[in-house]
Amino acid sequence: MKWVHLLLIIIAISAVAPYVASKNPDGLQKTAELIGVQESSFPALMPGYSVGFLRGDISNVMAMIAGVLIVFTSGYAIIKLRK
Amino acid sequence: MHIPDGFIPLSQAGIYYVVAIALAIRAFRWVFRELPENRIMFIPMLSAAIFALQAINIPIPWGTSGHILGSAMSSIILGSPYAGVAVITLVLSVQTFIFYDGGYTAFGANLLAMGIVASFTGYYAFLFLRKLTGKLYPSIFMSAWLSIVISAITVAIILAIAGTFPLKLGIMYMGLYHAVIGVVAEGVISTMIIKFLTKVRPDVLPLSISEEVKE
Repeated sequence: MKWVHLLLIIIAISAVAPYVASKNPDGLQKTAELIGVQESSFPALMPGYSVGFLRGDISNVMAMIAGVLIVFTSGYAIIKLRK
Repeated sequence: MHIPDGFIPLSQAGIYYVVAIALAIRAFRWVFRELPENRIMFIPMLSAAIFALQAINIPIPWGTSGHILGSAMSSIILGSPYAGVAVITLVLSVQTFIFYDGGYTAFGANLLAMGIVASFTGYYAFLFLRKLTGKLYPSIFMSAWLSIVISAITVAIILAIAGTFPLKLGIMYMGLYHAVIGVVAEGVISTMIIKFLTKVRPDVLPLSISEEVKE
């Protein structure tokens, strides 16, 4: 199997992630809820894994794919620096 | 398990930043100097895979959910805890500074707990269990499980030092939730992915994994 095939599988997983992920709070959020702690919030580029100009699930799907590509490209740039 | 803004005072957050960044630099230095050439593509591939997998929150009892960390898995696949730290640094940087998953001020603490503590715990637990039992996949499962539980307890301790969570309650809830998440997510997914890699790319895996494949 070639690396590009693995990357395509990863992109496919990221595209379905918004549909299959549980909406329940994660372990830390739930603990904070139980103890009664509030978090602060600041502006971000794509908060909540969503693209600002899109609505609904497609916004999350596009944000996830963008995220995968940004992470992959950053990692690839780093290994290219080594060479 | 990403700590948001507002949970850690800035003075403490600064200390976690310094410690985490120092270790991240050491990790990337390892990638540049010591990571074998045939495993180099795992850095972007694992980073992208872990980013995608961390977005899949798996439901567990008590109305909560959890996702994998991937630190132990990366360290085992690449043969060093520094590799896990480098991969998680990449993932967490994008999650924090683009998607705001985890607070800007808490980045250092998050990297310390999810990247550094989880990678070192997972990797050395794997080596120990592998030597003790001789079994590859149970050792991967147990070390991955342990890495997320210890990481969660580290978060609870960080938040107790910050005065955000009471220590006992924090450790109890975080430990309990992540002990379950560790079984259904971290342990199972890490084992499955490494088993998959032993089938498709056994040539690039470290000896600690590939020895059993040859048996």
